[in-house]
Amino acid sequence: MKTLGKIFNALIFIFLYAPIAVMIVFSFNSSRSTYVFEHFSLKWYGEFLNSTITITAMKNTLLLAVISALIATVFGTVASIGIYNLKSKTAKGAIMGVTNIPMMNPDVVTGVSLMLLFVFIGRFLGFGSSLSVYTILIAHITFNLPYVILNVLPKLRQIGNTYTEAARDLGCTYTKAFMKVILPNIYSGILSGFLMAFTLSLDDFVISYFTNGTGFQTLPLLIYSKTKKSVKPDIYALSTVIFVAVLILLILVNSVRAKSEKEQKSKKSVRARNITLSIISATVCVAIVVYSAMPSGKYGDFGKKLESEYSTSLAGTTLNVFNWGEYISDGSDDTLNVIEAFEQTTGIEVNYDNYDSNETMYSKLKSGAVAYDIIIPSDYMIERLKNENMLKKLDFKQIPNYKYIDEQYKNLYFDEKNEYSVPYSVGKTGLIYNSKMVKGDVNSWSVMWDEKYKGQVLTFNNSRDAFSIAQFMLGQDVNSTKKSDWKAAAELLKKQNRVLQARVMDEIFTKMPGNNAAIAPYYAGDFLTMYESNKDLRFVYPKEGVNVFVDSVCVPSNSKNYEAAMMFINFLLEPEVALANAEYICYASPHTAVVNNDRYSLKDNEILYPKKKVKEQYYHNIDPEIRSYYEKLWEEVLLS
Amino acid sequence: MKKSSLTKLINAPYILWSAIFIVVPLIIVAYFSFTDKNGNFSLENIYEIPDYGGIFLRSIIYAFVATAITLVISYPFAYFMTKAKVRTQSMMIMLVMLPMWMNLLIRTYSWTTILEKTGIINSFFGLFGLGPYNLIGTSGAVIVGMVYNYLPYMILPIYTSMSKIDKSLVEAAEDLGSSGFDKLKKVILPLTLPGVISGITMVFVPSVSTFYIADKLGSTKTLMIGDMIQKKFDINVYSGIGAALSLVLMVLILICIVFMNRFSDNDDGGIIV
Repeated sequence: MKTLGKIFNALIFIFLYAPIAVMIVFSFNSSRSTYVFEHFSLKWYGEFLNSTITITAMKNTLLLAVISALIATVFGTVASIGIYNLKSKTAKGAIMGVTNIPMMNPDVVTGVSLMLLFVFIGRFLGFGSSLSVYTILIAHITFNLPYVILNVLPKLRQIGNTYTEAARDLGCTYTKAFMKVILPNIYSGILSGFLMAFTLSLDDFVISYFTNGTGFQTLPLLIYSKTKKSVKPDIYALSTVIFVAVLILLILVNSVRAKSEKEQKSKKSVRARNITLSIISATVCVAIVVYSAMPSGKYGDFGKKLESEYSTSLAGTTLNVFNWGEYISDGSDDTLNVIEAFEQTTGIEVNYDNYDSNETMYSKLKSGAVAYDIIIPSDYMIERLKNENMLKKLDFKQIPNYKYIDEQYKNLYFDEKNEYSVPYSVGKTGLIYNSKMVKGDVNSWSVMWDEKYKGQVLTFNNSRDAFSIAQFMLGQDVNSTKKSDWKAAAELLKKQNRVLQARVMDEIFTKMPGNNAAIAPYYAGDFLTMYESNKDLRFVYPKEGVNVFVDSVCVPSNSKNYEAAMMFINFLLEPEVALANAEYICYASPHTAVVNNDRYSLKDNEILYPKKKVKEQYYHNIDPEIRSYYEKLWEEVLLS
Repeated sequence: MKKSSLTKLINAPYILWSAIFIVVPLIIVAYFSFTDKNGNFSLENIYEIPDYGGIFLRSIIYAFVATAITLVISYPFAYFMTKAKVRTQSMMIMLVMLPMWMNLLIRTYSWTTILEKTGIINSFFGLFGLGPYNLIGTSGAVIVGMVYNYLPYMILPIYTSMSKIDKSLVEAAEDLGSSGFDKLKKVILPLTLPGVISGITMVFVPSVSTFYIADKLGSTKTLMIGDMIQKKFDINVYSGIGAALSLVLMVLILICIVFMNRFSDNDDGGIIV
């Protein structure tokens, strides 16, 4: 029986640690695949140490967890004492009922409801942006509190009133009685409350997702924002470091505990207090050590060259940037750390946040939940933002580097007079297939409906891109205003369900290189990343047509640091910066000095810069009625 | 007299905090559920709810299965754990909690490497000429993800209530001639019921509303209500239908909890330690 139990528990531990083992193993992978292990390398450890974005996110996460857990612990302990001393049973019941809500409520609902509250209050008080670092802190304290209370309250019940009364009879003041009698007895409750609060805060994603504001990105939010590009093993490396740090902490605490157990067997309360204090302070210490030991990103001598050209008149001000995940050169792989270089050159502090779709960015901006100085939306979203007066005109006098922009990317439909946007990156959709699994020449989207490849086809997990494929197949306009067109496209998509393996976004970065699927549509530049780890992959622009998109830099109308924004845009257009970004992002560049640069590794790349003309179409902003119609159809497709 | 005013003083900040950050937000959710875009009273969001019946049902079924599996795993696990040496026990507890310090997103992401068509499990089966099996993208994968992520929430409360059991009670049962099974059924099980109930609640609630896991490990056919609500609010911060779905989810969970609490008279939740 005993051996059986041991085996059973060992199996459960294997189950609990299998994904963590995977994470650790792949953090040492030499390629970017989280899938095929090539050979041992410490590359990713260097990468995350060099990435200011990741490091900042990690710092934020730790800071938030420590502060919210500490506040919740103190507040919750005081509240527990208050609740315990309540005479009225109804009042007690009511308070406990409310206390239970954040625990019983799904995280999604807690997050959403708090977001709505903050947005409401923000509007009422007329704030430019209602979400901030304080709202995320409040949210974390709120969901941490019940765990502290539910750990402390039972301890108070256990000791009862008699000891306190005895202490009072012996002449203690209430405060003294509390310090000498109550506190030592509830330490273990406080400790587990603190640890739970800390753990939950560290692990939380959903509530942070809804309540975080400008300039405070936590690690989970950063990871989530990478859903269009892909999670790289540098995140695994970072997690491995955290894992090892926590493991060491826990082992230390455990041995301290065992030691003090031996020494102070008689003095139970003192022991409890010592352990509690040591664990809390150890946690805080480790957090602080990790926090301060994190190096800030590397910075080359490149900025110095530019220092003369950029004034430092705005030094000390803050610039809030909202960009796609993995969409700026971040200093990994010895590339240029663009944000850092800008900060060093101008003295302006940059808050950098990520989003994972145009729509998310739009709705956050629209609600007044956040305020940014720089955003990088796609074409159709620029049209929409412009129509809704959510963009500021740019002052091109302050952006002399605009001269580098290729003529073909000027005067585009969404900004015909070149007033609001500066092209940043250009891409096209296309079809990726595995030449070992797909026979013959592929040149049409129709292969995605082919029964031969049943269970091996992937498609986009976002409505617009998925619809566009069906629309190209049907020879429709992707911006059709006819409901019947969308309906027909939806019917075609439903037929595809039979052969589909999955609808994916970033998962494609593991599925295609890992030979887990044969056919998938995606963005041209990302194919190059996948091709690096699997040379059997091929890319084609299907004959029916593809979507082309231009992501451009814009300034939202509620920007508070317009001058700095102009400076930043001009900085992004510096040939060296644009080159670094083009290499990093791997999409086509609209920058002439990049495209013609011999150091540009993707120069004349036939996929990014095809010689033959590709049949392509831009997305336009679709009017709300049609939009909600096709979103509804999309839900039907998903659920059919 | 002095003490009661002190109590009031101590309670005031917490009551205020709960009112603003717990109660009011829920009222706002309800408000959005019952109003249209212009803020007028409307049932249009409520009428749309039946369209999502399938997702609700699926979420509840998945959560139910996941909770049942975690319970079946955790109970013996906790039981065997209490049999170990005290020091080993506290070490084991820490090891159970440790994965929670790695972010849920990363842990879930790692599972894809294990479950993929050419992933670790299928490679293992491949050695014996079996498979590859379709593991990822199935409801099974989603449930595994849920069981994995919420297992600690079940183990900890059960372990706590189990380790609190007075050994003399078990011994008394033995002395009175109880068989192993009787001992479990008549002594251990009733005494650990509060732990089991709070474990069930702590697993069931996040499972029903689970988010990201179904998206990563499942397919669009395994989409869950948590993902749906997130998607709604992603496109529109003032999503009426999103608010209505949240409201229904909340009520559903409340019903489940009330139902479960009827089996237990424990009112302090019985969380760990």
